[in-house]
Amino acid sequence: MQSVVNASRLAKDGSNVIEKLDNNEQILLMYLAGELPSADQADVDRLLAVDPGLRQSLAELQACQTLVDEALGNLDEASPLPVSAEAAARQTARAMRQRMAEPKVAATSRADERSPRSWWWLYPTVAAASILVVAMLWLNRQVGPTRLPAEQMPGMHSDKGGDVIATNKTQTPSATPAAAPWQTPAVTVAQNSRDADDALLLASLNSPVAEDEQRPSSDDESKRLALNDAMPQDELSQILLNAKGVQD
Amino acid sequence: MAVPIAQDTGSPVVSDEALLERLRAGEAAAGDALVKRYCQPLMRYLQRVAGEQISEELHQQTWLSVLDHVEKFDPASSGGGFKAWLFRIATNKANDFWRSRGRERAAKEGLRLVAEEEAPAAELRLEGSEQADKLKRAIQQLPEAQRQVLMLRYYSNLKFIEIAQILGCPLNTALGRMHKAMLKLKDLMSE
Repeated sequence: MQSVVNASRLAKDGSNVIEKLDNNEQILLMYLAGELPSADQADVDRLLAVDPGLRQSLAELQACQTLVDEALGNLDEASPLPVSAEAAARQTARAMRQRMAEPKVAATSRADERSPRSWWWLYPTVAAASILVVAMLWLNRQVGPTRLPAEQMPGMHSDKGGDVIATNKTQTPSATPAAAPWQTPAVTVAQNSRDADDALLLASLNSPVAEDEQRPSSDDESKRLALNDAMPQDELSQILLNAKGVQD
Repeated sequence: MAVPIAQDTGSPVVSDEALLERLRAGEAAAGDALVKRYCQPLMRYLQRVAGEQISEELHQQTWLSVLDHVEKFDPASSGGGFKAWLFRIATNKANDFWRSRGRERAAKEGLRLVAEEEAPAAELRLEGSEQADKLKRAIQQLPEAQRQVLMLRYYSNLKFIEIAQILGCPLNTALGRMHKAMLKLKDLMSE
């Protein structure tokens, strides 16, 4: 039996339907259905005339097709539809008329329900806002608590880096909470507002005049430091207050 | 091949596309005529590919879908015209149905086949024909893709190239499925 596909390729008659098919059975199915282009149909006719094997294949295929067609026809006759075609057509036509009678607004709202067109912007907006909030919180933690410039804090001066350091030398590391990893150790004295308040109070007690305006002499300062080191903070404060009262 | 498509006889036949145009313009009677014209083959097709219980519902869903999308139908761009479009929608409805029932299907199918073998249903007994019973089972045993091609070909009488377009596969695939389905049916019926 010749291959119709190869024969068609040799013919090169311009049609390409047969070339798309895989085997003779597919070509013969198309041939039986009369769906081949006329040139291909003529090619198959020519091959059938000279190839008994191909004719045999065609006869078998035709018999199989007839058998299936008859069987399906008999099945339809033997098994009625669940509802008669007329009843089904009436019901469907009624449903269609009802659908057509629905106001256009209802149809539009049905379409709107299916597509969340009017809310498309909501999700990206919420997502962007969430990212912004998270980013701000993260940045806030990175920077740490707000630091006041030294000029705005009486009793304090700024070191080279601009960090604020209280002038009270009695402040010991144990008196302040441990510094967080992201905080610079040099600024732990005034690391939060409560510490800053305490530092301000002590600074005002220790130095009635702002340090930037009038620095005490080195002798006075060494005496005061000696007192600071020797006495507890409460006693020192009391003594200083008393001394201030005598002066006044 | 037998083509059981009901056609209006008597008065001059109005084309599907003309009826669809009138339906688009709001003429409900044109829709009635189209439904009546295709009711028998469409119901049969759905009966064979989706099952008897659901065929009526799918038939109605198909036509309501036609109505909903009637504005989108373009006879120039859709090969096979209205009939191919109609059967494409019906095929999609059947596929959606099976997709939604996919998990239940295998279990129910097994149960149903066992029940039918043990005690033939009253419907089958009324049908009387042993051959019909055998063919029905043979059709149920066909793979879904082969059954769709076979039934589309038989009930819609569309060309193979149009069937391939409906099913979204190449022409040779559709023809291969058709050939296998025919051979398998023949074998199952001769057992």
